[in-house]
Amino acid sequence: MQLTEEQIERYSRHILLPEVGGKGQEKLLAGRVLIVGAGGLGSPAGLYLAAAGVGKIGIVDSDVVDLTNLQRQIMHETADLGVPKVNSAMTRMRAINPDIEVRVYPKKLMADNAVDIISDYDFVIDGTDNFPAKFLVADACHFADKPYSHAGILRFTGQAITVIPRKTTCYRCIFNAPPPPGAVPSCSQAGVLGVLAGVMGCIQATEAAKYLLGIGELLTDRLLVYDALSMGFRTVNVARNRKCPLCGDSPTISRLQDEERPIACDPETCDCYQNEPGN
Amino acid sequence: MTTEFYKLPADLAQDIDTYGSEVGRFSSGEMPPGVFKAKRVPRGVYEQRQDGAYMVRVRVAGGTLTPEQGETLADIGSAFGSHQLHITTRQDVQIHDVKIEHTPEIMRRLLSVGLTSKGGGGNTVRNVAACPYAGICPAEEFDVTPFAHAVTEFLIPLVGSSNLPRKYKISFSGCGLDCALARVNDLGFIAKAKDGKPGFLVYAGGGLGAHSRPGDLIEEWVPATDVVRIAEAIRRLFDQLGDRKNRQRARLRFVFERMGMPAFRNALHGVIRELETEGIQDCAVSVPDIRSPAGASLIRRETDSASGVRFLEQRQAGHVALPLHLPLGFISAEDFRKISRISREFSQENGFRTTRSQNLIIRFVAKDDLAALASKLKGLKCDVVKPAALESFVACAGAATCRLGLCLARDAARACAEALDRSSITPAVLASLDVNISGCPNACGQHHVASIGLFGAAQRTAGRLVPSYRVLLGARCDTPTARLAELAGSVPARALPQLLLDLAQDFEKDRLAGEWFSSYFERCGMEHFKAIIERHATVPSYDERPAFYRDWGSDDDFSLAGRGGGECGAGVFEVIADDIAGAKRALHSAQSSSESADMFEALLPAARALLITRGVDSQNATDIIQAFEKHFIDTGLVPSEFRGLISRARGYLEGWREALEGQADDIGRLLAEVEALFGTLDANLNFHRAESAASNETSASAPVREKPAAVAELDLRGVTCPMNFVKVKLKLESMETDDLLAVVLDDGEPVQNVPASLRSEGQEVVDTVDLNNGHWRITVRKKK
Amino acid sequence: MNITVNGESADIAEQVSISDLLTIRNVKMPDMVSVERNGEMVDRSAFGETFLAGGDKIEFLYFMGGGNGSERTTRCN
Repeated sequence: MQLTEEQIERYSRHILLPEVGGKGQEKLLAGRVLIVGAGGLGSPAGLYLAAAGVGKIGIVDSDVVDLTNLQRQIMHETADLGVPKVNSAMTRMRAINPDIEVRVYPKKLMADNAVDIISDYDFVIDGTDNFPAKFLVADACHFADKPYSHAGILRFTGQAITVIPRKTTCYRCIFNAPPPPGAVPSCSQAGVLGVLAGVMGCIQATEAAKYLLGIGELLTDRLLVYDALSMGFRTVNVARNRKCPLCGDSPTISRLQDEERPIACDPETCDCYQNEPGN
Repeated sequence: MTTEFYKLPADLAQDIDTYGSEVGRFSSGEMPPGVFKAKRVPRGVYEQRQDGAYMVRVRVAGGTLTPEQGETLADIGSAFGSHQLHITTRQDVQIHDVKIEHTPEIMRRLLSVGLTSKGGGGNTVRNVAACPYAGICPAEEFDVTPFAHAVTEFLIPLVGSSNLPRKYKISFSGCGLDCALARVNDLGFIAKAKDGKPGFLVYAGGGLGAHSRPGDLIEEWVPATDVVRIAEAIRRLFDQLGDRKNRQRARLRFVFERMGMPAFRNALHGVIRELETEGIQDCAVSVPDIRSPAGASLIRRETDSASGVRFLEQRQAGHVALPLHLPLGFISAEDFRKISRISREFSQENGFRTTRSQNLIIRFVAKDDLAALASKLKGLKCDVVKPAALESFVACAGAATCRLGLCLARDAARACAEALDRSSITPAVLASLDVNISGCPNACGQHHVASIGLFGAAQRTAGRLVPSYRVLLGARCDTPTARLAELAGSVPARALPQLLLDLAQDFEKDRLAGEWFSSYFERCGMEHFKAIIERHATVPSYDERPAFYRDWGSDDDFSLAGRGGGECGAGVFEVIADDIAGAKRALHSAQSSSESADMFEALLPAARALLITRGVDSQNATDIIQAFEKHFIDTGLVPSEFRGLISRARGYLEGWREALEGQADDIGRLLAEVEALFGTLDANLNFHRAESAASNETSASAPVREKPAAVAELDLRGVTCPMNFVKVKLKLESMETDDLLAVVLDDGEPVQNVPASLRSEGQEVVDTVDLNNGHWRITVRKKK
Repeated sequence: MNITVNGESADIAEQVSISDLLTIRNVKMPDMVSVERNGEMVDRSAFGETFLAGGDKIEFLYFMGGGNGSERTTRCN
């Protein structure tokens, strides 16, 4: 592949890196990354991967843009309220870089479509915000045999890990099943400093880029834990769990399923949050 | 006036003794010339073009000389066989044609009268210049002369003043008209009084030379007491930051370009604070007389009706200064002695001065004494007062004595001056012209700062070399940002007198009263003059006008033969590049015709291009082919597989008409080899490939290359950082290991950054060549 | 005895189980935490019966969503 003059200019700062060069940029341009969830994590990841020239970026989200999103989901603007998130995501990504292909999936990732969608890509970024989805992504990537980056944020902390299925520690090695229905975050627990999404989403995008370029050490077999208040990063080594239901010695999960969603507070009695009209 | 302007270092006598023993070891053969060169040059001793002849450059701080010093210089000249002294554009006095064995004694004699040649050359603090009208000019703020002395006194003794990354030139001007060119020195001070206190504007980072640049204003005003600290602070910064590895980019102005002003000023202030804590004192020069010369004009030249002598009216009523015109800065020892005596008799400052225009000046002469002085001057062999066109000319030594010189600048200057004198151009017009001529692109003649600047070059026409000059116009140095002259065209040397005549006549026709040529240039614009110059640019054929193929002052056809080492032969590179370009063009046509004859037209310049570096410059095809084989194939510089091609060429010359048919590919590959080799050529005209005869035939350790390395090219002129590096990287990615890539880059950041970045990525930068046209060619070998 | 919890040193009494430790450390929702002890994940069901030893390195790994915590539509945010 020959880079055009404009591409040489656009990606010059990549090409300058000894570890990247023109060849590396060509790898990015040929790369395909799926971002599940155009929300807090998916936003920065999508924007940076678009800027980097990842040739094909898929984005999965069934939601429309909501005011509560705008505190951290920087892919979307106030003018986008009510617009499907994948649409405003695509608009923004292609505005940064018309060079790339953005494929939108305005739907939920479910057991019946996950593997099909994921198969088209080289790397998956889990930008979902709920546990059932996270387990689905973990399982689907295992079955589709695609590496992925998991991340989560909560209040002032974030975590991330990269998984190469069957080779490195997977999500279920650490969290072997969704939390039981009764154990649900109280309202204040659902709060998060918006910018944490930026930090973790960018870390995910970094992992995707490294994977496509084939450079550096991926964040495997260790969980990166970020405490924004103390501005501390820790890595916790997590080995593959022989009892992991997905990738252990005797796996118990042989197919994908849509996990039961944990129920939050009873909307009848809880007055912590005013439900939005519609939707 | 004191007899001693400043104190010389206490250990100078000892230093001369040390130097004396070094001379001994050199003369006996014990010390190699290269090692000795590093000893003599910082002491101001230069080798002349003629073997065995040396020149001693005596520093004259502020241009001031006492009569005793003048006489001693004259005595030295007479005693040691040099009957000619020369005043330089930096106000030094040069003693030419002396033997090396005499130089220690010369230095002792200089020392006895408070003079030294230390720092006359090399990577040292050079002579500190000052405007020659300091102390007498109506326009000056105050007399800067003692400051030049103070800085000299402080800096010379320092060990660190003799081994800087490159030369360090300092200059003082008494006002913003900047007659001493402070704005184009490494460090320049322009006097300015503020609230009744003496002080200076400080410029730094300027310089002439093959890459000229005006300095930047680094301090809007500093009190005079800071002068010595600033000079030392900049010296230290230069010492620390100058690029010692790359001689071409070692001058202070490149540090400046790399750092930019804010960072440099920061660093400077830091060092000045260090100096204050080290206890470097305030400069103790007292300035009794601070003027407010608002609106005062520059000192004016008048003519004395009685004696016909021209003089300058000093600001001190009743006193005049007499400029003495030395033809191109030369004067006999005898005349120099007489002038020294005359100055003792007539000058109330008991001495005289050297000037930047290679002349002398006697000041503080009582106006009433003018006639008597004029008649004394008549006793000189040289007519120093008669107006002559030559006064408008400053010329460097040129190829007559300088190994770097391409052309004989002085002879060109004389030829032009004669033509002007013979013409009907009025003296007033001539006096408003100033022409500076350098024999090569290095600006020893300061061709960038005159209203007409000329520098020597060589053109090739139909296989022959023609001595030529590039013409520069439009310098303005009296403005806050100095503007250097720009290229306006190029003419053969023999066309110069007629060109200058045309320029002078054009000027005379439309000149306003009292107008200088530089203002006239601004009125008319560059295009007006380009047209005039263009008319003189053509080179007639050898048969029509063989004189065009000989330089002024030479009876032989112009040639670059006999060039050896020495400093960068700037013009030589251009000639080689031209040959290679010509070969490429010829090859291109040959490729379509496939005829032997056309092939030969491409092969010949390819073979000829680099012969200059081996001292060979021939017109004869057989000689060229022979010399190429001897100097390049036999030595292994070019792979021996090309012997076949050379044999064919020989056969072609001997009558075998088809010898070169279809040989385009091989000729192309030979040309590529030549060009790659050219890329490795350094400033000493040495190549950087192994020169071993057997290197291609047998090699136990290194693998033999199957084919010569391909040389790709990349033209990145006008491409800024970092895009240029990006493109080089991308190009290299598409090449094989050990392939060569020749890249043309702009001067400045590109050539400073790209080679270093390539090296840091493990690529081999085989060489960097200054093309002397604002661009550089670097050759990279792909290693990774 | 001395153990390390989340990279920091801590002194605890003898006979402390992982469940106890979660209580001691004020972990409000122990069901949202996975525990790694000396490099190995501890089965949730065994939290109450796994007793700590001196020099143990314990990591609490929290379940973290994406910032919504759960579906927006009918839940608290």
